[in-house]
Amino acid sequence: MQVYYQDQNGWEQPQYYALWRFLNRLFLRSSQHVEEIKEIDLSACSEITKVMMYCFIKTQHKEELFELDNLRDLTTVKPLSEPLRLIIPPTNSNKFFEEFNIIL
Amino acid sequence: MLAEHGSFSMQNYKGVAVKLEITKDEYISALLYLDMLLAEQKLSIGIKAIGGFALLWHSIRGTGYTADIDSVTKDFPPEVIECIEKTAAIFDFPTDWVNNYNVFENDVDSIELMIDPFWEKADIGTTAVKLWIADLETLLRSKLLAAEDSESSGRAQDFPDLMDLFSKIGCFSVKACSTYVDENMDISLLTDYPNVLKLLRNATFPRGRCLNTSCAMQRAGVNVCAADSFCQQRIK
Repeated sequence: MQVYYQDQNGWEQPQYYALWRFLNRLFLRSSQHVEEIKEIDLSACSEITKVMMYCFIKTQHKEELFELDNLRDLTTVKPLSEPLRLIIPPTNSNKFFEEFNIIL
Repeated sequence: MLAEHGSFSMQNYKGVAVKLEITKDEYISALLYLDMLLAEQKLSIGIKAIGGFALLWHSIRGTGYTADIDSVTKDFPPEVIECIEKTAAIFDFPTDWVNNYNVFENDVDSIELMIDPFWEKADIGTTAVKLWIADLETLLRSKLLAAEDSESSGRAQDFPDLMDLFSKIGCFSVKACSTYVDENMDISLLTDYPNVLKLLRNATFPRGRCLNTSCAMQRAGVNVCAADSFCQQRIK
């Protein structure tokens, strides 16, 4: 099972940070991973994963990916209800992620 | 809970098992295997590693840093790529675990001009694989450049990496970072990297190694002391 479909029960900061780094690489190199991105099934992803995907697409200025049929629903994601802290101590280095309650 | 980083393994989207976080030892094993495959075909490869693998190499973090080796080299010939992919299949690595994606249009010179790198030769016992690793100052310079533009580029990982680099060299405050850069790199955060300076001012720094000999954290050699209120003396 791909990391973004993984059951996140029991996950802690290191696992979420690993997921974040994986998605960072996936979208930064979207031209190399276009086939994989086109096959992402959002219905199998957690809210946290979807919010991360949304934030990466926005901050990396790759909004054209929202036009893919499978990623269109990402535009409806809402900020997480609880802060998710990925880096300890926090670097507070990304305001956009922070708006969605993902603290770097 | 999932396994520790080093064995954080999943299937890729094609259903093939791949490791998402690869340890230094796993990389070395794979490079030795790649060396054997290349030598069998009388091929060779030069890898000039920068980015996450270089950070891992310098023990900026113990594990869990990256799933590939970014090389500042020209495109690899197809027969070399074939060996890289064969090695990936053996070790459950992503197929492009050695790549040069950071080099646009095969233009290595532009990158070298930008980061003025110093490559340290890494002897891991290979002959067909020639491995060089960017030194700490090169990594610092490349991360400063990347973090300065992180807002427009969307490269969110570079500033956290930069913080880790500063911690590694013992800079645990904005002043310490600024002084180090001024004195050792002949550049100024204030004038050359204003965005980085702003980010540094907003960041929470890890604590330096505690020098209090009665502190358990100090005795354990832990670099980030959690018992701040009990310890007065710190490196920087």
